[in-house]
Amino acid sequence: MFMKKLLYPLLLCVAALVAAYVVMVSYESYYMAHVEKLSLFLYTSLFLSQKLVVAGGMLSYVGAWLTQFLYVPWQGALAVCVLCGLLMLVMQQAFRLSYLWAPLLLAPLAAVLMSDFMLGYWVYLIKMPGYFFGLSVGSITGLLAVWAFRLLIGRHWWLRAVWMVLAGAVLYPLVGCYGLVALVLMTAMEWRLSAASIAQKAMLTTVAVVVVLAVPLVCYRYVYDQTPIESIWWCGIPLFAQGDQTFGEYYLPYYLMLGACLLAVFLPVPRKEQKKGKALQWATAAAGIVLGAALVYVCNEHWYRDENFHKEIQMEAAVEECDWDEVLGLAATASNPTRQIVLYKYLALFKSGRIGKEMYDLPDGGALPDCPAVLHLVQLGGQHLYLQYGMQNFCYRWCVEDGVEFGWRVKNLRLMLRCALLNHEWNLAQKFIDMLRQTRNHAQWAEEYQPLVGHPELIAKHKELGPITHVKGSYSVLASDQSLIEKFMLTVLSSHTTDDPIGAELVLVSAIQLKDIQVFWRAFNQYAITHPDELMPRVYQEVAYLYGHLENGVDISRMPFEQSVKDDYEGFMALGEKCKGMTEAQMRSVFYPKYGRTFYYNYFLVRGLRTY
Amino acid sequence: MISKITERCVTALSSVICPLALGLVLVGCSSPQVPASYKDGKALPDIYPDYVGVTVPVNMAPLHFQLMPVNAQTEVVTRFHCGEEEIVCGGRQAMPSVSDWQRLVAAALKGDASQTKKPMPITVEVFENKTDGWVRHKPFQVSVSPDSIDSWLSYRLISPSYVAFEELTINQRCLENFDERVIYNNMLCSEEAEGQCINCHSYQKGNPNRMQFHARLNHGGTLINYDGKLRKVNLKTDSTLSAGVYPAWHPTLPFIAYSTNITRQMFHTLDVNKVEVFDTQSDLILYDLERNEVINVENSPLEFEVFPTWSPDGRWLYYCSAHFEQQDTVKFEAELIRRYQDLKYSIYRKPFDPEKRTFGPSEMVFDAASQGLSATLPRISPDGRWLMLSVGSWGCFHIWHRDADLWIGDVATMEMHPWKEVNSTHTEAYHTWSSNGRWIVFSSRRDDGNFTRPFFAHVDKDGHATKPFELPTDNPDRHRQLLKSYNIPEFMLGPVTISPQSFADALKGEPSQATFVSK
Repeated sequence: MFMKKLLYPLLLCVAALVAAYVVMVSYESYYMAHVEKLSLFLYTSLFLSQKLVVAGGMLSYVGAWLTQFLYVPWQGALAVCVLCGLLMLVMQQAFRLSYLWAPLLLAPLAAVLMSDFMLGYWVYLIKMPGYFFGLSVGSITGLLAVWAFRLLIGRHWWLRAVWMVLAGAVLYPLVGCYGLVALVLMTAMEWRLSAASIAQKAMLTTVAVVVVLAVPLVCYRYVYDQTPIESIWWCGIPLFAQGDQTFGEYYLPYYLMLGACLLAVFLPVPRKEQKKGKALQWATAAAGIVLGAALVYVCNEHWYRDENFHKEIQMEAAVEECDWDEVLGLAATASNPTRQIVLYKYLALFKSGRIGKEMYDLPDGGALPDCPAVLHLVQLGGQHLYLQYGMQNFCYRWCVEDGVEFGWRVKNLRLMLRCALLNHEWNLAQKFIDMLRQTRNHAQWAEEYQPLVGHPELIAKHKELGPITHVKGSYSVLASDQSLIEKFMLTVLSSHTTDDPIGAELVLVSAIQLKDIQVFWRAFNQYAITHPDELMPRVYQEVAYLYGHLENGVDISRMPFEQSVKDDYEGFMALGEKCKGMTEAQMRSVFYPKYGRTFYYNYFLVRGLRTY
Repeated sequence: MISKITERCVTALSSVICPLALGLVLVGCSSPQVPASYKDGKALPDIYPDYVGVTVPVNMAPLHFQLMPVNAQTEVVTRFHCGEEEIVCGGRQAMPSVSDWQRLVAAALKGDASQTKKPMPITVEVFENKTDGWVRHKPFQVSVSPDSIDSWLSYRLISPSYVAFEELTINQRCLENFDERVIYNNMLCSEEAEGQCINCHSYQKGNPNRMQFHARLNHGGTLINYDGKLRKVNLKTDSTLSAGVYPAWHPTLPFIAYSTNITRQMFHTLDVNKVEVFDTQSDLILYDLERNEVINVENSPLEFEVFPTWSPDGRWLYYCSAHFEQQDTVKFEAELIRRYQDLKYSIYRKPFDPEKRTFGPSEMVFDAASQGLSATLPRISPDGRWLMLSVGSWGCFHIWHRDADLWIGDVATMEMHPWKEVNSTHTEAYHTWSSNGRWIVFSSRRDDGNFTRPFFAHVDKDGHATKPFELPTDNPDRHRQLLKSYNIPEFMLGPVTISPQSFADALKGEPSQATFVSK
């Protein structure tokens, strides 16, 4: 019997944790590493004091510290599983669940996994530092207090009252509302399990209510000055809202956790279970199993699996490594790509010198991110695009905007360091290097940039920064991207005047994407001048040939176009004649097999793609 | 009180949890010894902040600094000494306590053995244990001035942001120690749907009981504390461009002059200055606190008037103005963006009759535009002798202009010149005088070109300044780690005692609408 009571819950929990671990490591490695880059933990006293300015600040601090482990996904997954295991243990001890109800212990695991892996693009919009471990650490802390309360049941009721006051006063500053929820659970437990008199229970309830109301108010008035009074009871819970809109589905893990705890309070105590008849025990076990299955189902249903989201993350990691083949390989497998994926593809093609030939080899696309909130490219990979295209001021700007709005992230600091180096702002670069030295995972990365400080000649030779120096414009203009970077970037880049061959190619491909004929011809001439002895890549020939026919402003009669360029043009136009009356969608399916890789197709049949 | 306790708890906690290195430093600090033998180095120590050869006021907090690079592993001992007094600190960060520092300062002011008892400098020696033994870097001196500085400084802490904002605080810092408190935090009135921006804190002659600041957007308005009475005012009227923006308290009377501005912001694609902030229109108004009335001061459509400031006797209102005429047929704002470098501000003034609340005609006192320059933020010393300005090549928002420098000139002659003693190759912009006129505080980006820090310098009666020094911080690495700028450093004679929550309560109330009175 003893073994059964111990083994069943243990095996169930361990199996669930192992399964969760395997799934995380197998499918979410890039995501976890990405979450780490969207977080920041510095081993400095300033960092700690900045976190402790709100109730629940310690939760953020510990959460941010734990988030560092996500950098190595197996470690991050292990941290999640260890915490979930602890949470299960504490829950079991706090509520002394009957072994028949062991599947309820899966609830915290499901809640934690959901809170971590249902986010998708919301991961960019979360403002709470250490969010990834917030629910687990907060719940463990709260349930430890409940466990201690349970140990006091059967003793003097005033001891429990003192404990309630103490727990509220200590836990609220440390873990925010998790401390208050612990008091709610204590009160429920008092009514459910305690043999105290009604008057004593009422007294304890009053104490809990007073503590729950008063502690946050006292903290608001005398301790903290950064939380509006409307939010003081929710400290420690991230806000899933944008503008006037609240996205309630993301709170599901929190409801699940709270619901599981409340259910655990009101379940029959183990001794009573044993007195039940066999049939009732079986029924209880069956209910437990159904509950466990439901939890697995709900968790699975809410796990965010969007292909584009995961691809973007992998591509960003490859961009950071300047692994352009990897970026292109990922782009090739995107069936309905977002603009972010398409823009990464163009970047990789340009950086690897293949854009003139392969610009349209992969289909264009304009799928919107699968996210209920409003997102802009600049919040995703736009900062990388700005940096790689030599617009470091705008990269820097959006790093600052992001840092201000969502809190400073490793990603921002790493980008800002490179911007500072490209701008020859040596002291600023040193500042970011020194900050990154205070991190667990990025100190070595930052160290590699140290030799570049004060040495533009080394920057010019640097694997990543060197090529960027070729595409920086020659003069500055005042501009604003209005948060829509694609059109803005193309407009600025296509306007550059340069005698650098690499820079001139970027000007040309930007002009081509802009589909502005006048801008194209200027860029085309500049490209031709800077590449005097080279064969004109096929895509550029196609554009010139088409624009030469569309407008007679430029004489193309003496340009040495390849015969296949001319043939494709003629064929495309002839097919166009045949397809008169078709919708654009119908035409796309007819044209794509033969002409999908040409500029002609892109110019006439790829239109109206939404950028964001 | 509780927030102070919390702060101390945080500090205590941080020293427990945070880096092992800090622990080692503290251990090293327990009984530091000046090495018995050492070689003399020829170079000054590379310390941050740069306190080599600076002059500090008698009541300034200790100068904490660190030997750079901060991550180096060498052993370091620092000795401060003056006369009989000596402080020895171990570790790369030299952090003498307030009481030790005061002993040292007292010894410095006691003077030397000469009859004149001339103040003695504090000598600082930094010893470093390098691979081939201890080296004493070239010693340097810190002079102590008997002129005291106003004991409090307030500033806005803001990320050097562009458009987005989240948490902003107006803080106050006791300059005699390291006590820093929040005057107001905008998050107290911010919601996800609507944030709140705060700016332009200002005081009547440094009086913390007579202050104002603006809140924009959520629960917006101008919050004025007048002798402990809080009021929220809406200064925007149908007859003015905007609510009040850049304020200037009359030195004695219940008037505040403001500019009203329509401000825009654009971004440089390449220029290292990164941001350009400019007005598309601006005027001047006067707000009468007692009557809750706004009157117009200047509103010429071809002139961009901004940054009012009073003469110490309150009989003159100084301000900046740029003349701008549209040349093209394109939209006015588009032309302004194209010709932003043509916006050049000069300094003007108008006589003020306090009884009638009227202003006389404008007169130009410093024609910066004719020199191809743009002069902003006029500030007159309390004795009325000196005019201090920030001068750059164009525009009014010099914090984003690297070429912006402080200039000074005699008010009597209005001959202005760059103040070489205090300037750097980076931005020098917002500046103000201490109440005794012997100290200035100004914003500078000399540390890294991007993050603004307050610097102080002593000014003698002839207008000569000493080498500026950065605001000392408890942890000398703080400003290198902090990703926020100090904005609008303003001296105060004491701390603001109204709590942030009380400010928030007042801001949540309905504003009193100021009435526009035409004159």
